[in-house]
Amino acid sequence: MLSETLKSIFNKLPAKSVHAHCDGPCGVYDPASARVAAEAVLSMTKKLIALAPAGNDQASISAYNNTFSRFVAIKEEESQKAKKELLILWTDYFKPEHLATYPDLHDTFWKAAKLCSACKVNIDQAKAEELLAAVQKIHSMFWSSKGRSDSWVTAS
Amino acid sequence: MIAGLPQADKSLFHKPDLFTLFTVIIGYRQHLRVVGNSMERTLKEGDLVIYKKLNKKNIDLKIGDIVVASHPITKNKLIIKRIHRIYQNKFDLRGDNSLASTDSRELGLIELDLIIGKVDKIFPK
Repeated sequence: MLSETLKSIFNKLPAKSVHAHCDGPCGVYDPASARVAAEAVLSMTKKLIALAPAGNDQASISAYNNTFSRFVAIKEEESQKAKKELLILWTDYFKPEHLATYPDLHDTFWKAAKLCSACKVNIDQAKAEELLAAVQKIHSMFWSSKGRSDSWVTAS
Repeated sequence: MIAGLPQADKSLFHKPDLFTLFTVIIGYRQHLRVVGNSMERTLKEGDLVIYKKLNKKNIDLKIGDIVVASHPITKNKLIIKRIHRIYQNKFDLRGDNSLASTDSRELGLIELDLIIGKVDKIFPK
């Protein structure tokens, strides 16, 4: 009875928080994942634009439809993946104090996330190139925030 | 038991008592609410920890003690960890839940000046 009352009193005392958590479950962040996804989006967009049926027969049309659908599926999947990776960097890695060094941080991420959506919905090479450029900018911000200047190398 | 996690240190667990409440009210001890899970299996989110502030007379830190320290990078943020190793006046602080803890493995050794107090009682949520 007494200990319950005391527990209730302790629970009502205003208490500061002490943090027993981690900045991330693993603490490993790298914009490379977003870069690979953004490259894949650009690659699939280019392939879709270049794609044409080999002929007018049913087999060619079927093959075209099949390949087109597969390319669209991959483009949408990679767009979503790029957005997810960017959001992780934005919300988990970057902290309020980074805003002093990168005042356009929020705007950069917001526009990059919007580009992911645009690339997912459309077949737009200009948007896909803009997305890759935005990821490159984020890459530079990320590595400079760590005091490193890793060069931008693309896989394709 | 989860591999890699030390057993909970039961000796610090107490039921709330009048004496502790008195010492908190007069400021002899401080109390803090735990946020996060890096100290599980010992501390869980919402647990209340009672600690004594360190001063010149009571600096008696040992390996295994749970301490409250200022975050070495983020201002006005307190962290709670266990002393893993002591190197002169520098401390290797680790979370009991090594799989989900940002500690000296990432933050480096923590200077004595940053250690605010030693936990001597835990009131589970």
